[in-house]
Amino acid sequence: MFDILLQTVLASTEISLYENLKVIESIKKSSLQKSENTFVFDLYCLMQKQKIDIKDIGHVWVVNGPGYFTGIRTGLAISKTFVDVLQIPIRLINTFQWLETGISDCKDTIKIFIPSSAREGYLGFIKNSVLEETFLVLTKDVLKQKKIGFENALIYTNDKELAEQKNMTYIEPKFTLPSVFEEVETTRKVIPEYFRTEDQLFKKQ
Amino acid sequence: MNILGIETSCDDTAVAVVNSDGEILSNVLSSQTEFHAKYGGIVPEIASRKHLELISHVCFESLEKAQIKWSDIDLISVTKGPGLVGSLLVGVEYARGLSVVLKKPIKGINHMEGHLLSPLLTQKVPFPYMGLVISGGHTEFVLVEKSGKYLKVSSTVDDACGESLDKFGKQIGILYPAGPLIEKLAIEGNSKAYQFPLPKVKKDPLAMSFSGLKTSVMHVITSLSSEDLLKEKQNLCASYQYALFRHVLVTAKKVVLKYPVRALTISGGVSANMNLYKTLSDGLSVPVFKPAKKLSTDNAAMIAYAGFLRFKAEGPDSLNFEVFSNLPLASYNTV
Ligand SMILES: Nc1ncnc2c1ncn2[C@@H]1O[C@H](COP(=O)(O)OP(=O)(O)OP(=O)(O)O)[C@@H](O)[C@H]1O
Repeated sequence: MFDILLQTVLASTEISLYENLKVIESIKKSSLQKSENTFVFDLYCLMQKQKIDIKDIGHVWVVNGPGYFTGIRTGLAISKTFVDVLQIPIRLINTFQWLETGISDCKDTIKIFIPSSAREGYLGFIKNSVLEETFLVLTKDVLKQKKIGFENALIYTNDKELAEQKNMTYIEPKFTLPSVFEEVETTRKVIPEYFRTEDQLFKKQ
Repeated sequence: MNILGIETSCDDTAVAVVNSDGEILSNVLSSQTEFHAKYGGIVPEIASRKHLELISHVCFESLEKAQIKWSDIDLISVTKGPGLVGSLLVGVEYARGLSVVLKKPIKGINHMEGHLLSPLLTQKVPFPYMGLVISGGHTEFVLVEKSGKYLKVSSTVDDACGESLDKFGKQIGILYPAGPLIEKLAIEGNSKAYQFPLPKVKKDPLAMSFSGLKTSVMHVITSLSSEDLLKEKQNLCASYQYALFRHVLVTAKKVVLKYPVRALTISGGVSANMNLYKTLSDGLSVPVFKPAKKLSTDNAAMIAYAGFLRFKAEGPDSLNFEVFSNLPLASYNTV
């Protein structure tokens, strides 16, 4: 049985095919903006190349946030069609748990920062795959850690540029599908968690 | 052949099924207007989120109403611009996904092309024709030689006609969209009660301009006491509507004289106005066609049908076609 993974929410995106939960081929793009129009095309090409038919797909795994808001909507809109038409269940993966696969040996609480727009992102605390807390913060505040109550703490991020601005450590997810996910069989009720609340939305404008 | 049309360019989530004979099997629309009203206008991020929430529901309802199954769909047609990119992307990604899981071709369609071809859905219109797209966002004449071959020949240089109606409506206490109520009130009023000048655009005799008329009517409104304004509402509506449509008619006459066509079509929100239709039908020598009322404002049936016509002419699109916030339909033929 084959699985599809759609990760369209981070600055660098990936579309992958798995066989028995092991990755067999993947297309990675370094810019979400540039790959916006090609996710489905890439997926189609991957399936053609591997000679995989739609009916061979067992699950669609989709990273559903936090991350760039447009990317969240994109991944979910694509994955909805699989459930709506073929009743293939989708497995929603939290981005923190997805990135956690890139950090080995973690016994303590890990802090991860995931950008969601040019100016802000989500800071999450995770321990042994359990998400303890998340909140929306301004990127500049995370860079000045003092303001958010940490001094020289180790904060991980998947954003290379931010990591280079010294205060954060760059991580890349491994291709391992996480053991924690939420399986849904109808998308009629899938509403992403990580969108700005109305208060957050209007404070920004 | 059954075509599934998807339209999410602004704040309405719309899905329709149309067949290759132009028969509309279903035309479902879920409007977010009330939802955005509390913010005083469309909030793009909320609009795209709502599309994501609604797209599956609206799609299922459309299939149900058309009494067809997924497997009965032969082509997917979707709006690729112009519009709000976040909103467009939800419809387009869903359509792309459908194309892969259903193994059916896809067509990305310009929203304006949908409007322009919408009169063809319910009647036979001879080519070449002049299409007047007249709505809250556009007022332009486009020469349609055949589906896919367009030339924009006239456009407003400032406000769109529907926008002028809405702005005027706001001043006399009519809620958005003001067009329908203005039409109603105008029937009871005297269109000669107030005289407004015929606009002229100096550099381009085929261009239109509505902002001057708006300024003129504002002068009249501010000169009236609130009591008189209440009494004069019908007359103001009739006179202002007359002035706007006379400008459209005068331009239409020039346009069809310069570009001989076999018909004129009107589409877009303002085309629902019977007075506009009558003004143009009475004043022009060519026959005038308008879409059915449900097809004059944004809808997915027009996208489905435009997709079918384009597919017939040029085959399917690649899955990676681009989405544009600004997507001109045709180059502007300056005179
Ligand atoms: N009966 C009518 N008479 C006059 N105007 C009308 C009537 N019905 C609707 N309108 C006007 O049509 C406009 C809305 O039309 P529509 O939804 O097609 O346009 P839009 O979404 O604002 O613009 P576009 O589709 O060009 O981006 C509004 O300006 C409204 O006042």
